[in-house]
Amino acid sequence: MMRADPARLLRSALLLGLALLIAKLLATGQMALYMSPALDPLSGLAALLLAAMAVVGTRPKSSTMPRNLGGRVPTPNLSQEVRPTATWRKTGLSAELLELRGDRSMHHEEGSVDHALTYLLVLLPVLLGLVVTPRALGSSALGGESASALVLAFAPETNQTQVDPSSRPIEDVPDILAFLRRTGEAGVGQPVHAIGLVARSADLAPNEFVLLRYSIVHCVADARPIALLVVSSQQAEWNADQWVEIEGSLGSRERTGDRLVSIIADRIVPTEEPNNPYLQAI
Amino acid sequence: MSIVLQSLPFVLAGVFASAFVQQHLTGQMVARWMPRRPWAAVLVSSLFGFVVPVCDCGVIPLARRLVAKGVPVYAATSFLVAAPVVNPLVLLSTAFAFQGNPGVVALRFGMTLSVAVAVGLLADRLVPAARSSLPSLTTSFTGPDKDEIAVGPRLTSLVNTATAEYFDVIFFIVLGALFTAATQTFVPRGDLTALGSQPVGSVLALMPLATVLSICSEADAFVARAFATTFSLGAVLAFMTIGQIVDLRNGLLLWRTLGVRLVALIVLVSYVLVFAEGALLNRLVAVT
Repeated sequence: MMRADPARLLRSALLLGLALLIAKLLATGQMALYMSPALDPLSGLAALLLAAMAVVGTRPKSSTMPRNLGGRVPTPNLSQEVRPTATWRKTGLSAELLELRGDRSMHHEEGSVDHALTYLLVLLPVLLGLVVTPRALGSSALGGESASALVLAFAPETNQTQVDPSSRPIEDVPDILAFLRRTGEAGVGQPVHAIGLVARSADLAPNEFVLLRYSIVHCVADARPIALLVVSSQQAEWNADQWVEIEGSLGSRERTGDRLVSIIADRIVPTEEPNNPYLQAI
Repeated sequence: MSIVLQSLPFVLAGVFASAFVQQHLTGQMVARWMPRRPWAAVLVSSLFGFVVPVCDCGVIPLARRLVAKGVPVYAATSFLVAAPVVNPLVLLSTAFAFQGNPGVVALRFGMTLSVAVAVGLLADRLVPAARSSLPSLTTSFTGPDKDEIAVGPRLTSLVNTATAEYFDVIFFIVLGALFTAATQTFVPRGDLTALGSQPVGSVLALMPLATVLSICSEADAFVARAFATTFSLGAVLAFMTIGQIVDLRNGLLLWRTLGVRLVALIVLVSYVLVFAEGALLNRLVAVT
């Protein structure tokens, strides 16, 4: 005899919803706002598995088991093992059989409140992901810390290699950091071209702001801010979290005993947020 | 959201592996391989996660079943403590999260193993009930043998078991992600940095957090990785170790399964040992 199980159908719907959410994020490129693109194949595989689980879950289960095998698996208290009849007296079933039958895993305690909470909590990311348009981390993700406190400073004892500034600008933040690691403060004067978020701080001069990028290893939960001081020739009136493109040259600014890495900006223009706004961990 | 999405592949790998093992490994096979001497039984049980790669969500029922098949409770307790970390899937995800850093993987393995062995041996000495085990559950079952069931239904059963386990796990993944997101959003990074730089304070701060967050062992390394930029190495390792032994999520089920004395022993021994190891590690890192 076949019977429909609303709980199984609900679980299948949730699994399918999550699979669709991952598919949508991958298809639209929005997954890059959550995770490193290196994990996309794994995410795709997860979506396929979730979909398969959803399909299997929609198949009605057949009730072919003897009636006396129905019921719950009690949770035994191992301190009372000397009295096994007290622990197991209400059951006549094998937990393995329940698993084989697909009713439940051994540890899946049945409880409508527990299940309702689980379904609600699983529904939350599915709904959020499907309804809300994801956004890249902004300056608010600094957790209340001043952006100016995060600005990179030149290491005081860098093994500096004298370099002649190239006329060709270094493109974007990762290459700028690699260049600075190699040259240290000797790289001052090098033309650069960088893209990033504007972050404001009360302790910066009116013609200064912080160019902010986040680097991630896997996902935004491990995001690390990378901040460069930008010094403009005129008042910097850019709004916080505005993406800007900067052309200028590397400089150095003394601040509270540190020599801060700066970009002396020749030109600042607003730009669109990149498809992948995060840098791979540097 | 990103923590949930990122942990999904690993959670799915874990629940399918667990479902497979639950379907194919019998308690009798396990009991046959179990040494009679306590120290050897504890060591074998602590390393048994390599054979049965279950996460902390699946380990309690499995330990319960091992006991039902004749494995001593103290040995099953060691398995219960160690298996969520001492298994290839979790060690692999740890290596993945920490960009293949073998030191972090080895230290996580070693810290967890030391707690599992200590808890198992102390349970054998201090808790008499831990020396006994349950009678076999299979004596009351007279249904068809697993091998007599066709491949199709078995595959369906495997997926259904994995699905059930998935829903046990995902609740806590989402909850842990919410906690983590709230922590990262509302706790100023500067405060964390100040706390994280202290060799003892950082360990003391992250251990209770791990207990509260109760993140699945297949996903916690990714959360710990986020802490690695602000907290000391010892604190991050203590977070990954204690979080898989003492967590709010499994607390109730653990208490119902093991009883008050064993659970108290696990909590006390693991907290003291993990704290000591974390603080010692920070001291050694500071010296070198």
